[in-house]
This record gives sequence, C-alpha cells and structure tokens, in this order.
Amino acid sequence: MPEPLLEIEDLSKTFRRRVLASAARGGIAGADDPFALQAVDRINLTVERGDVFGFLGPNGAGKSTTIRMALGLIHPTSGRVRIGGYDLATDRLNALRKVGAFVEAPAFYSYLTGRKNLEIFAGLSGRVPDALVDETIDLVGLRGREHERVNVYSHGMKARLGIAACLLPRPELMILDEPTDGLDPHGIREIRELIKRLARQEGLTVFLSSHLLNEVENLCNRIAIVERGSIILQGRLDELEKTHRRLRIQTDKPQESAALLRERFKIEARPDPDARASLLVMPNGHATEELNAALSGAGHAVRHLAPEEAWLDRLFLELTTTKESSKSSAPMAGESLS
Amino acid sequence: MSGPVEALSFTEGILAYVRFELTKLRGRRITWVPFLVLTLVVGLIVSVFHYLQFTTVIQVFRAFQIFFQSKEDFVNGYYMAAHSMNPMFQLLLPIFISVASGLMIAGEAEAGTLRACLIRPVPRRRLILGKFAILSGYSLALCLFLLFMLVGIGILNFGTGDLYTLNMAFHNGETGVSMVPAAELPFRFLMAGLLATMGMMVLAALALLISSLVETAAMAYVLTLSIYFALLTLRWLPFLDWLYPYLFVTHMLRWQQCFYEHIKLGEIYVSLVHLACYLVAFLSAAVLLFEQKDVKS
Ligand SMILES: Nc1ncnc2c1ncn2[C@@H]1O[C@H](COP(=O)(O)OP(=O)(O)OP(=O)(O)O)[C@@H](O)[C@H]1O
Ligand SMILES: [Mg+2]
Repeated sequence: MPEPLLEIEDLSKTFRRRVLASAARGGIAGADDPFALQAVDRINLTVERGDVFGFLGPNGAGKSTTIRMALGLIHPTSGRVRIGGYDLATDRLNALRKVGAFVEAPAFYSYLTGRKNLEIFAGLSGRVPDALVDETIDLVGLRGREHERVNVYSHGMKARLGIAACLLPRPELMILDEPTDGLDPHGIREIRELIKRLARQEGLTVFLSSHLLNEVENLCNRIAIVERGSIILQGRLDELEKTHRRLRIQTDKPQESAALLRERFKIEARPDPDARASLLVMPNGHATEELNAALSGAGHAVRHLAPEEAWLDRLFLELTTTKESSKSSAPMAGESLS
Repeated sequence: MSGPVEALSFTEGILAYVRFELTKLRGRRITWVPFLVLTLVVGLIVSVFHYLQFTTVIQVFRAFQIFFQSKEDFVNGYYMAAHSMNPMFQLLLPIFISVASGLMIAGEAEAGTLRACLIRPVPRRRLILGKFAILSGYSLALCLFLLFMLVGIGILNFGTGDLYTLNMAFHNGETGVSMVPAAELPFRFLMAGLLATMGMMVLAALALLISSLVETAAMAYVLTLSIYFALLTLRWLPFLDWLYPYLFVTHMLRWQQCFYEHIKLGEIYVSLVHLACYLVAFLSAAVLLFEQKDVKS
C-alpha cells in the first residue's frame, strides 16, 4: 500500500527580479521593473514511503527553490506542500518533525566542534540522547574527529556531518540538495553508499536533487526531471528504462539489419551517431535474446548487442537545454516582494 | 535505528533554545572582544585621569561658588567613572551591541546556519525572541562589566568620596553643580547601569529588526549604527527640538539623571515607558517580518 510522505501540489514561485541588479546589468532600469522570474511553475510530485526519489535538472532549473518551499523556508506563490499528511502552510511544526534536510549545502557553526553542532541542530528537533549522537557519528564515519572544530573539516567531512545532522532527529524523510556537490570521486562514492545503506537498511525515504545522472541511476527508484521550473518527465526508473533505454546493435550489415528489425518487430533502428556501423533501437518490450536470435538466424553477424550505457544522460541532455534560463513573465497582481 | 526523537515540551523547547544560543555566543570569539576593549579603554582612562591636572575644571567649579584647591579634592573613583560613562555608553556599547545583533540573524543567514535552524520544527518566533533574550543578557553583562571596571579600577586608583558634577555635562539643560554623597553612589551607579541596559535592549531590538531585513551582517550593523548616530546627531539641530523628546536615543541617555543631586523620578518613568514602547514596537516588527520572510540565503 503506497503511503505518500511528501506531496507537492501545483507548487509555483515567482521571484520579483532585483530592481538594482537588473539596472546594473543594463537591463530594464527604474523602480517599476516589469519582469518577474518564475523559478518554479506548477510542480506536482509525490514521494512515497520507501522511495529514493531523484529530482534532476540543469543549473537554475528550480530544484533548490522547490526544496526551500518543501521545507518552509520560502513561501510558495501558489500551490501547497504536505509532509506525512501535514500541510506545511498550516501545520509547519508537525510537518517538519518528519524531516531531516539540507538545502544548497549543509551549513555549520565553524567555530564549534562537529559534535556540538550536531547537538545544537538535533536539539532543535527534540530530545536527543547522547547515545544517539554517538551512534550517528559512527554511522557516518566521523568517529575520532567529532571533537574538532568544523572549520578544520574537509569538504567530505562536512558532507558527512551534514548527513549526520539530517539523521539525528531520526526522520522518516530525508531531503538532500545535491548531497555530493563538490566532493571528489571517493567522497561521492562514500556518500552515495551511505545514502543507499540508509535507504535499504533503515528504510529511510529519500528525496534528493542532483545533476549527476549516474548518481541518480545508481540510487533512485523514481525520478523527476525539472527544467525551467516545470517537470518534463517523471516516473519509476525501471519503467522509464523500459520505455527510454535503447539497445546498441552492431552487425556486419547494418542496413539489412535495420530493415529486418523494422519488418519483423516494427521497431525503428537509427544509426548511432557516436559509433560507426552501430544501430540504436528501442526494443519496445522485445527481449535482447529474441532480437539476437532473429538477426543471427538471418545470417547477420552480431558483433555487439547491449543496452546503451548512460541512457539517462542521453535522455537528460535530449530533454533539457544546456543554457541556464528561466521563464520571464509580466508580474502578477499581489505578488510578493523579493 | 530507533524511531523519531521525542519532542520537547513548550518550556523545555524555549530553555533548550536559549541554551543553544548561549553556546553559540560563548563559542564566537568576537563575543569576548568587547570585554577586552572595555578593559583596555578603562586602563587608558585611568592614565588620562592621572595625567590631567583639572585646572580648568577647578575654575568652572569656582564659578559656581565651590572652591577646590587641587584635583585631589574632587577627582575620585566615582568622579572618573561618572565622567567616562558618556562616551562609553553612547559610542562603544552601541557598536558592540549592533555587531552582536547583526551577526545573530544576518550573519547566520550569510553562513547558511539560519536556514539550517529554520528547517527544524521550531517556531520562527521562538528563534528571534530567544536571540533577543540572549542579546539582552549580553547587554546587561556588558553594561555591568563596564561599570564594575570603571568604578572598581577608579576607586583603586583615586579612592572614594562624594561625587561633584557639573549639571551641564549631563545634558539636562540645567546649569549648576550636583553633589551626591559617597554612601548613595553605589546604588546610583547600579541604577544608571540598569537604565543604560534598557536603552541597549531597545537598540538590540532595532538591530534584530534590521538584521532580519538585510542579507549580510556588515549591512546590518552599518545600517543600525547609521540610524543610531543619525538620531543622536539630531539633537544638534535646533529646529528639530520638538522631535527630540520622542526619539528613543533621547531616552537611552536617561541614565545620566542618576547623577543629579535630586533624581527626577518622573522623567525616568517617562523614559522607561518610551523605551518599553519602542522595545515592543521594534521586537513585534522584527517577529512579524521574520515570520513572513523568504529565506533565500
Ligand atoms: N532569491 C532569488 N531571487 C531571484 N531569483 C532567484 C532567487 N533564488 C533563485 N532564483 C532563480 O530561480 C531559478 C531557480 O534557481 P534554483 O536555485 O532553484 O536552481 P537549481 O535548480 O537549484 O540550480 P543549481 O543546480 O544551480 O543549484 C534560477 O533562475 C535562479 O536565478
Ligand atoms: Mg540548487
């Protein structure tokens, strides 16, 4: 029985573009800047208990803004957010009790020790026994360094401390904004394994934003791709894989192979732009073995037949434009000042 | 892993929050700088008082029919303390309080720790009121520390005695000389300290209001101090005389009353009421703004 933990309904946010900044950019000057910036545009999504939900999008797509609204840091222009059934607008405290989170990057009091920071932040969530703090320090692998000041911590240690701070209220839902941002490959792997372990072993529900596709492919069971404030693709990763992951086929007679696949299976094969004499096909539910047998049976020498690598990367690049951009629109009446 | 942690009761929550703010305040090095600066300045004042001969002051007193032979007749610990309070309470303490308040909200916003606090199940109101409580305590500590140092070190160097002051040194528009007997002075200084603290709390509330409006700590204290000093200067503009009784800076200086021969309690009450009104106004505005605010840092 799926149980929604985080529900986002028709969520939108319009920022009033900074008057001074736009004047400085040589844009529309004056006090009545007629433009507003729609950072998030009617987003709908549901994270169910047990999900590891990947929230993908290029820079400036509106991921952090959505997360800020989901945590009550900024007020939506319209729409609503519910966490564990509690409406964030009317029942903020109960909603936030279920969550451990960070936005942009985890932040700490650099002049205090790691442990003191954990105690401070966890104490804001409730009564936290010392044993629980110790357990969490062990869990994220900071044992031995917890009594040092945070300003001597490396980036990776701060990331782990950030996750520890999220874990300390023993949340049902973790919301992480680019948890591996700025880490080296070891750090990325470590954090990824940690999140995976938490999700698998502790049954934590995770909502994470990222633009690292392999991270998401590796961790998540559901994803949403957001661009310019709107969700352009959403679904279970395994289902998306079925409908979007192609096969790469290399035979000695690519043109005949393409014709055969079209005739026999009604699947369109296209030449692979990245590899000579290769075809890319959407298998449309046909098993790899089936296609292989048909091609071999027709006397085509199959040199390579495998699901395409980095399919999510490709899909992401196809769906999103590269340059950072956002929608501009005329200001709405009664819109909040930024 | 166990279930969610137990929520705190209302009072526990408040106490826990105040304790955390205290931990942060204690941990920041800049918290302790004012105490060091005040100690150094008091040392400086003592050497200046050792060095000065006060011949002009003796002449001025003579104009009021009070005849001192030498500085030893009237310069004592209390005299030094009372005459050093003006610049300290008008200049130094407001700077320290503004910086501390600026760091508390705008500074935490800059560091990102504000958003880390705000995504926890704590009412925003409690955050800002907790910070105000800590700032009030800090103001009290600074004021009392300063007075303790001034009076204590003053007495160690110059002994005790009755306090003679020229009324005009304390801005009440009167002339003449006040004499407060030595026995009354500890109480007078304590009262002055508490009144000054009340003034500093109003400034702290204003600073928190500004701190929750702007994005950086530097912006917060520069703005706060600009407003404070601008208002303080208004009294030199004769055509704004009518406005002066309504400004909070006027009432922040009311501790000076404590060194008149006969304290005008009425004026002190009026000032306390004004300060309380300003305090409530600034603090409510800060709470309202902070609760509405989009946290984008
Ligand atoms: N405080 C603000 N005022 C005005 N515009 C803002 C503000 N915060 C964000 N924006 C704009 O909203 C859009 C979305 O920003 P957001 O930070 O949510 O993107 P993001 O998906 O998190 O990007 P990134 O991957 O770079 O972190 C951007 O165009 C950004 O410029
Ligand atoms: Mg972001």
